[in-house]
Amino acid sequence: MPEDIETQMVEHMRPLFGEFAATALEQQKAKLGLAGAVAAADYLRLAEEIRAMCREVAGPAVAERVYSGLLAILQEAA
Amino acid sequence: MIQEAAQLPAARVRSYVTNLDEQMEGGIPRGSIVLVCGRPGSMKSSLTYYMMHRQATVEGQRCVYVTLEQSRASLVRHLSHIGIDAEASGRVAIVDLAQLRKAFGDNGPKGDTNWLKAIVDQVASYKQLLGCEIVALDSMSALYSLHEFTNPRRELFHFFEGMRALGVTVFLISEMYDPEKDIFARYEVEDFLADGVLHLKVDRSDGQSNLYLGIVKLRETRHSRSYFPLIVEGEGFEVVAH
Repeated sequence: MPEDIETQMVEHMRPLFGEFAATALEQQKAKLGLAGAVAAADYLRLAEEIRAMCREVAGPAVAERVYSGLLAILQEAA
Repeated sequence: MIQEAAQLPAARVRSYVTNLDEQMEGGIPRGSIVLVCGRPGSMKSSLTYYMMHRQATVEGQRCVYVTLEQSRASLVRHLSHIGIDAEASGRVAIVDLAQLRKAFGDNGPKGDTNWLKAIVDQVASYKQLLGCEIVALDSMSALYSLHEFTNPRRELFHFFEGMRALGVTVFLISEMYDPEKDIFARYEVEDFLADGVLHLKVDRSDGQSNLYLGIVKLRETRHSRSYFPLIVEGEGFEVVAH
């Protein structure tokens, strides 16, 4: 259920991105051309894009922390 | 290397500026909100980051440096020029809200962001996410350019109280613009609301540019009122005490 996954991803991103979290997720989805039903492999790509964005915003240590949380959400949903 | 001596947080946050902590009973009371003020080029950002960097590397404190205007990459490059490897400790996170502003606009997704509240909420989130004990916000001028004030005095009171309630030590970097007067922040109320004021003064005379540091105010502390020459050497700062 993508909405649930994405809601969880947004909530996980919120501590770093604040109220921009949902917009950030949507922006990265658009960048990857993801629309409609999103496959598991694409969610992985999405998590990697978000990690890259986190690196720019807060550096590698924080990016890895956010990324590992996103991976945990995806694994839980699989 | 993090020293093992720091098992419990000290009651004061040492600046690690040579000769300065002795002028303020050993440091800044933990949990204080301190304005770091000065005109452009007075090394406010560098000094603030240096204090956090030393707290992280020597005492193992976790710190967050929030930049609203200068990019993270630019700040890291600047710090390397004065001998500070910003990526080294992994305990000072530089969060680049300028990047988010650039990517998503200044008004937030709903177009009516209360930036003073948003920053307090963000710092609360960073405390939860990163477990930080010390936070810096660079700069108040940038924050003011985002926030639409209707009653600055009242809104700033709530901003300071919100920050204070988080229980972290906060450095607020404040640009001073009036060359004739010592106005420490734009609305002239911030220095009353803050627990401390560190003033960096640049004396440009006789073809020289010399930097001075004064502790204008520090609650719960007997401190010197002198302005001390500030020297930057290697990766350290030092004041010349009289």
